[in-house]
Amino acid sequence: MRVPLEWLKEFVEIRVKPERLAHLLTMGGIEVESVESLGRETIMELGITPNRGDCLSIAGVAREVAAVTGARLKPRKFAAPRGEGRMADRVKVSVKSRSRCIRYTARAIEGVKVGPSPSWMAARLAACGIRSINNVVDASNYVMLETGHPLHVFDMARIRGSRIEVSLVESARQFTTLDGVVRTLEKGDLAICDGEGPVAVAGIMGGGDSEVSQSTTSVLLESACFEGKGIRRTSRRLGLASESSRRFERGVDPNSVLAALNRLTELIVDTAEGTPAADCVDIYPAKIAPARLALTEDAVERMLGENIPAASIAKILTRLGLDAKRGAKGRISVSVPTFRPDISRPVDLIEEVARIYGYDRLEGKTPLVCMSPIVRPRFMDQEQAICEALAGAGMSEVVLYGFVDDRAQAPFAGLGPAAVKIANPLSQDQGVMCTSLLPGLMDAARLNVNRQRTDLKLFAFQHIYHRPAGAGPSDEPRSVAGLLLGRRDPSSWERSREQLDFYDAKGVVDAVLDSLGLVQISVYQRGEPPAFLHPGRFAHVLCGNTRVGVVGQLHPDVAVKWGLEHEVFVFELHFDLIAEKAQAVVPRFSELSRFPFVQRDIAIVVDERIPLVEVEKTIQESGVELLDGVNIFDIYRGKGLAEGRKSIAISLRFSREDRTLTDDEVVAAQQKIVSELSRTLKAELRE
Amino acid sequence: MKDRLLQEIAVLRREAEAELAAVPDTSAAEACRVKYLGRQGLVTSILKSLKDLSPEERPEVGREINIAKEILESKLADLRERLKHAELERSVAAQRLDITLPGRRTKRGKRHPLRQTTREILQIFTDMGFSVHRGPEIETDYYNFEALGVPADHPARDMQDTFYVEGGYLLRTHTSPVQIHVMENQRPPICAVFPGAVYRRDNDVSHSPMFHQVEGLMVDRNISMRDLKGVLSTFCHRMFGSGVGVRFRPSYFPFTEPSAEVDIQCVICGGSGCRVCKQSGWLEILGCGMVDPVVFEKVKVDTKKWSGFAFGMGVERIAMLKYAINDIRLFYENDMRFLEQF
Repeated sequence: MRVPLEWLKEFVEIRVKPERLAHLLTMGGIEVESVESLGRETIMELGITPNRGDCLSIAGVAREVAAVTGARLKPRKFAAPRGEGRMADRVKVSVKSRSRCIRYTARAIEGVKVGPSPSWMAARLAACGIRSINNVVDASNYVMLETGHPLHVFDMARIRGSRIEVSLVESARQFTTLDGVVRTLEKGDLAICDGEGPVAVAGIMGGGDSEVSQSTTSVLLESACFEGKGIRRTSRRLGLASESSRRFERGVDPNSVLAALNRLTELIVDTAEGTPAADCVDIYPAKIAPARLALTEDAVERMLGENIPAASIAKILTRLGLDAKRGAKGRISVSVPTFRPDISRPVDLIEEVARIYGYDRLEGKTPLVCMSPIVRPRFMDQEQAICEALAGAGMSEVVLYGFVDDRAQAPFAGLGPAAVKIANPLSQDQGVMCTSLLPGLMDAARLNVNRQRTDLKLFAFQHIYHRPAGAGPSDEPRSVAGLLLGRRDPSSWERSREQLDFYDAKGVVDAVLDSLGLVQISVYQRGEPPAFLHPGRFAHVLCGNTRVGVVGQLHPDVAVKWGLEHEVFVFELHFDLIAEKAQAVVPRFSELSRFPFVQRDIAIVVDERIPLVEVEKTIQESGVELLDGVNIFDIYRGKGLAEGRKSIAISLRFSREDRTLTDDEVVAAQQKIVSELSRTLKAELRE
Repeated sequence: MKDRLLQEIAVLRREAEAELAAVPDTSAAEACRVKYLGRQGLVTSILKSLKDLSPEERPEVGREINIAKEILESKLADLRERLKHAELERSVAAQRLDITLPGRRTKRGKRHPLRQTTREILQIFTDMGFSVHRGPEIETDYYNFEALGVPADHPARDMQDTFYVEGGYLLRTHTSPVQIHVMENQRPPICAVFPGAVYRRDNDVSHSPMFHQVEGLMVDRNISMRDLKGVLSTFCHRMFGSGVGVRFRPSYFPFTEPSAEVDIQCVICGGSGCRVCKQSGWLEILGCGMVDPVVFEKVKVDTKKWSGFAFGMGVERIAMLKYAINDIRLFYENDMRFLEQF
């Protein structure tokens, strides 16, 4: 809302400088967003909150100025000039929907000369951001800005059948509004109709056919109070918000509808001549009375934490134009004029008192409450532990939008739950809620690669969204996912050429599992590969017997879809599943041995296809009680070995808790392990 | 014989000491030892010739040669120690590294600035005794609007353009619905904050279709606006520094009454006016107010017994001010050049 100070001064005395006034209004709840000078005119731009429809007018802002500065309002009375003839002889007005049209007033003016507006009027409208059209239309806009009442002017000659009826549209029909757009009115929309059909969408916009033009000589003025919610529904559906609909939605004062009509009549006669009707139409079947509220000094003190005497409370309310009377024991009875429909409860009055008294004057204090231990959401500690572990493993965190492109997500969908669709997305590429964090990570990778950043270690930790099988709310589990691409350690001066591979991704997953103490119960398994992963370079991650995620190289087909020619390694884990498992893990101390251990290194040659875990398992299960640890420290393929064979170097550690081992015992134990390896895995000892 | 030997011993001592003084390294020292003290050495040969002396002469010559031997041995030991040390020094001095090469380590990854900021906000409130709760992002109209005093067709819905999803749900436009969930599940007293992602149909330099908020709620006996001011001033001072100016100005939210917006003195210009604060010297950082009776009524909290305040802030907004970031979309692009700055 743009407010020229000179206009404002017609309604209230202003003795303070514009900057001071702006400060006072802002600190009183009418935010002054800027103060600008336009020639000699000073204009304030106000941000009016949706509850203060009354301040979408010069008169309303003037009341606020009076309240915050303590200045006097200048009462202005407008009266329609004397006229001729009765309205009943010219047009028959009726209101069919009384719940949607609270009050309807109208007056005809004949013999108007439509032409350019006087410069003072055009200038004020321009200052408020409204284009001048002609003296009649401008007058209606001028009065709207001044009083806050939206008004409409019809070309009387275009009103068919000398009838105006305010009624609900009964079935869908086309209607051309005065912006030239053909719109569809639907059942339940409120329309102003003449003898043959709609001439205006009530409270929103008039029709092109009945618009005032250069040839217009007689006009019908409308000043009304329409119910706000209905106006809003129609306005939203049509996608048509106007200065008029904005005010009706927020509520206009039914009791000053007629004053606005009179003001408009006066202004049109002043600027476009013409003779008004001697009377006017005024249909106001259920008069709205001022709300009566009771307030106590105690209630104000309880809410604000500060005692404000009843006399001061009453004075503040009076300054706001409310009728406040003091009773006994700090009671105040208040009559709230109908221009403030936002004040309907005592608490609303307390806010009025607080803002005029000044929020600044309330001194902050520490709440006096009973102490109670705080609680945090389940798994918050685990979340923190995982993020720390990931950062420690060199992974940087990204934050992804919750929505993704349905098509981009398709390769990752697999057999999991379906995605939640957004009914009104901003664009197709934000059409569904994500069911995996991998598409978002891929987007981030692509962006960085396109910006010459080709070594990436990224992770995301956030919600994914699953559409429920039946009705009911969606499931919003959390997921932790990572992506690795490029070189392992590009800033290293020794190893900067090493490329990341599957085992780097697996190592990061290990770090995550380790942060929750889950390494002991975790295994990596082959199985049916998800479509988006390389079938030879992936693993399912299991904790206990539960599948908790996957790790692997992205299928080259999928990587290429993102324009990535690189080998991309990813993992995604169900956070809630692993966090759940972490609950049970409590370390248990075992006695430290006082005797030395013996270490023996062996190398065996086995078939390439035998996984390492089998070798470890065979050793562990060989029944050697002295065995205290197994460590694989080298794997070799190539020269000296047959095709399809690999050599594995293993370090075996033996010990007893009760004594030092003898050589013979160790030799026997090692022998047993070697023969077990050879029996089960056909392993040969490499000399 | 005796005198000749004594003479020889004296000469030998003199010569040996002179020779030792000129020894350059450990191998020369060893040669020197062999020459005098070795099995065929000069001292050894004198010792051997003692047997040719008469028993009367023997003690004196014996004493002299033993003294000479001890002195030589001790000097030789000293010398060897000195030379060994000097040689070590030399070889250590030659082992020179380029200490400017980076140390070996796994370079730590970065936490996203939004996560760091959220954590910092939560830390301040948990330090003050606030619990932390979360609520769903896919919400019903009831929790997101209705229960917060925004019925259908209410003009306040314009403040938040909403994404709708299938099944009659919507993406929450603020974290305020968590207030309702918490009050439905827990009777007062309540003192908690609710972090999370929220969604609005906006996309430009200062609006992102998804962003993050931290909501707060305190309901207890005798909670007043002065408590609200106290708690939120403490927050601002801890977040932006104890010297920063804080002001509360009236505003409007459907679920609080009275409502306020909290401004801090512009962290960019210090209050003198700049582009970021639109020349006002103040930056709006959070909305708050006393819980509206409409909300208490929905969750059946007796307003005669209880009162409270609520507040909400945008994490992006706070991070942008704290780190002087000028485009909200940077948070969601995830350009490493951006992420590595925090």
